[in-house]
Amino acid sequence: MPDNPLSIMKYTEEIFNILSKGGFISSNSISTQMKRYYDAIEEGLSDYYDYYKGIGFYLESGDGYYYFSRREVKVDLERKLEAAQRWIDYLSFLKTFHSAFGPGFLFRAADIEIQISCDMELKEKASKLFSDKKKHDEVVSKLISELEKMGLVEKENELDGTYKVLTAFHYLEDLINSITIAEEVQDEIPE
Amino acid sequence: MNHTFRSIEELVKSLDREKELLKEMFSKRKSLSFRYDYALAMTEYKEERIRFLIDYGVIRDTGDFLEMEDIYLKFFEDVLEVNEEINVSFVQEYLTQLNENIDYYLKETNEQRKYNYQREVKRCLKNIALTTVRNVMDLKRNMDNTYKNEPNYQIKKAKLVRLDEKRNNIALLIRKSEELLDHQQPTFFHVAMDVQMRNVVSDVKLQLNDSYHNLLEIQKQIIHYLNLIDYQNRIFEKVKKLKYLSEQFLLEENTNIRQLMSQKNPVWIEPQASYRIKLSIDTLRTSDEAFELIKKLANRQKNKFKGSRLLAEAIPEGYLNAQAQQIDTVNLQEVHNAFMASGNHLFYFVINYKYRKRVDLNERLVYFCQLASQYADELLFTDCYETSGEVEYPLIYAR
Repeated sequence: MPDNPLSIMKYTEEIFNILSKGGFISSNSISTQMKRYYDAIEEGLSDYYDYYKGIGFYLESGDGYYYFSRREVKVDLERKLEAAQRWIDYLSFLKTFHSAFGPGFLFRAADIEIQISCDMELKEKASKLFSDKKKHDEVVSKLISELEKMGLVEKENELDGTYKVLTAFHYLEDLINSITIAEEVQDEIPE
Repeated sequence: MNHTFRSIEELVKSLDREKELLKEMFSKRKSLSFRYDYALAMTEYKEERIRFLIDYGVIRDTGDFLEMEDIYLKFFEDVLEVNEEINVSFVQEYLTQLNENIDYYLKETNEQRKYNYQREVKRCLKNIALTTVRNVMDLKRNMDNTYKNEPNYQIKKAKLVRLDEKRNNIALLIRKSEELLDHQQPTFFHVAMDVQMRNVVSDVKLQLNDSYHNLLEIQKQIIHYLNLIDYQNRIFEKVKKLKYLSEQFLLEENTNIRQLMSQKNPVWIEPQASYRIKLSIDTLRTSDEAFELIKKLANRQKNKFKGSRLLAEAIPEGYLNAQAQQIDTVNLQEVHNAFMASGNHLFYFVINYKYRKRVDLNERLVYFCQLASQYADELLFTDCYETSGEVEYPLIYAR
């Protein structure tokens, strides 16, 4: 084995391009490229970590995914809270669509649209998801594109438009999990 | 049900005649709404054919709908290996039968009948193995189906728990069967152990063992599925609560989200950064590739202004009508050429030149001045001056 870690780290540029744009790299990705990047990081995590640390990006890992974070604050708290709430909305919609919506789950845009049209709760949630999109198909396609942009879902089948939920979805679940609700209001929330 | 089939042949023939209808009914067995009219269409609108099936107890009439009788439904499901019910009681029954037959065998003295009981024991053993294997297969399929296809998580969980109980029961029966083979009937298995029996027993043992291993795997899977469901459910409930708080504008107040988010600085939350990187001037200067690109850009730049240029309006017809003006002028170039060819000095030449029109003295003086200034390079100015009338002029020659 060569001593210089740079000669082992083959995909520093490719990985940087994905993660620095706020993307995730998942272990169950369909794309062979992505899987290769995932394996590469997994194999040389500490090398990659040190490498990106040098330019201010911290390579964070979770249950089957990698992403970048920083130490310095680049975004004001209000914006962060806004983003978190937005994803709570998305997650609430997706979990209402199917409680098993999570890594490994397969779905098509049409499945969600059908469900919206016959589920009152989902219909109401869909109408509130985006202020500028009201039509069901538009809401669904915008939501999917948001998920896809972050690297949380990937198109598995071009022909019938099946998407696969990637392990990076765990990130959102972990985020939700780490929020603690004050004891005293726990009981006030209707089931 | 008024009639029974008298022979297999009659049964098979009847089923064959209505195979279209039965096929359709079997495939729609889950929907429980097979309309009488629809069945009629499948039997060439002959009511007597449907009546025949009802009389012989193949299907039953429930008002507007028809259903396949359970005994046939079960038969088809079993044979086609699509049954969803896992019936553990069969194995239990076979075990009882087995014990009974062994008992009879040991008490019977007639060789022929003894032999029959022995055969019965073998059949029971085979059945136990077969049913167990089938049960395990059904269990696995049902477990996967339930996990993947049941959308309601409460039902899904309940179904999986029930399947887990089934698994337990199957495991129990396997252990019972093994126990029976190994310990409970030592006399019988000692006495009646011919080659055939030995093969059957060892086969059955092998199959039971296999099934047991499969069950362990299934147990792991069920536990995994149940955990997953619990996990998903927990997340779902949590999201529901957070969503509720958020809708009531109580989220920040009643959760640690503010503190949590202030600690986190993931890149995905940042606005899309675009890195503006300046071009390397060195590369632009030296690389052929850059040169090509610059050429391309230059071309595009050129094309850009084409077409977008402002066009003047068409010139009105009136302006194009002939309005020719004739102005009589003297062609100085011609005069100059003639002068260069002559040998005289300029003043003399200009004054005496034969113009095509009438030219007075003053004009001739103007031409003299114009020629002298316009063609100064080709002229030789001397210091000699002469006068003619009131005009003093220098002597100028061609060079």
